[in-house]
Amino acid sequence: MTVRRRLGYALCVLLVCSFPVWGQVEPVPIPGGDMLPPLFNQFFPGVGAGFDGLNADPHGITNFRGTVAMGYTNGTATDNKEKTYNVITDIRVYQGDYVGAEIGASGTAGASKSGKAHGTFVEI
Amino acid sequence: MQVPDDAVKISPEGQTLNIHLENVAVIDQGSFPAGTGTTPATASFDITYTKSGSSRHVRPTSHDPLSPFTWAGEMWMAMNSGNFSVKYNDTSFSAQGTFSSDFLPAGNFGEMGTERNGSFVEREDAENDDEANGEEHRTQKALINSGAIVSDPASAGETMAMSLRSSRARTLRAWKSKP
Repeated sequence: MTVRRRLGYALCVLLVCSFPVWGQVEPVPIPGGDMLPPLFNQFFPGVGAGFDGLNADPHGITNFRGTVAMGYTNGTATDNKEKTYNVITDIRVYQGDYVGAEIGASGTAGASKSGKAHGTFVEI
Repeated sequence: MQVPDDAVKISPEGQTLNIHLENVAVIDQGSFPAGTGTTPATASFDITYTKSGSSRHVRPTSHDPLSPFTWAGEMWMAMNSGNFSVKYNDTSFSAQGTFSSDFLPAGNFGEMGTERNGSFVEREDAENDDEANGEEHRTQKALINSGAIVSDPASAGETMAMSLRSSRARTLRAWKSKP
């Protein structure tokens, strides 16, 4: 795992799960990741300093089987006051089957058990 | 975050993947990675990933569950480009822009393909183990039944076939035992 400081997010919109949940089975994050710190359950595939290697796991969800697409980009943006920004993105898309967590037995504090599901996820 | 399946369109030959979302509820955390902002907003974006070159097969090369190299799949390098817009719910801020991986001088890293990780890879390992053990057992049984081990020599063809099966079983076990 690498320690990395990521710079330059002039416009940084991190998404939180405020979107309606389609399934009852919650995906489980990969156990590893980069120490940013703290542990960020995500690797940064790529070659060269500051990346985790060509074959580093591009996924943020474990127990997953399906399609994945990811990439780093640069761009520009303009706000409603005509101010311009440099934009850096790392957007990842996952679609497929996964084994996630769902609530096991009633009468517990919410103890989990495994559940199979299919879903599409995006990380921005 | 989870989105509807039909937000993603994959071309029939799998060469491109497009994701299109409109007015998705998001939180602007202000900075990355330790942002503390909580401004509610909506975002829209359209991105297309396009494969390039030939594929590479990825095999797990570590059994450390925290390692980046515990997955399997077939991946292609990929370019991507898109556009986005974001708007605070209170309308105090909005912005729109475009981005691309085609960034000079060398371009940015991107990839797409198919992946299996976690239990889907462990299951393959277990199946390979079962297959290897079963193969070896069948080979031993065949050798005994044919008398190759006890007395009568098997034909050259039978011996070759059994050797190949046994070799395959050993190869499967060796592959599994690689760090």
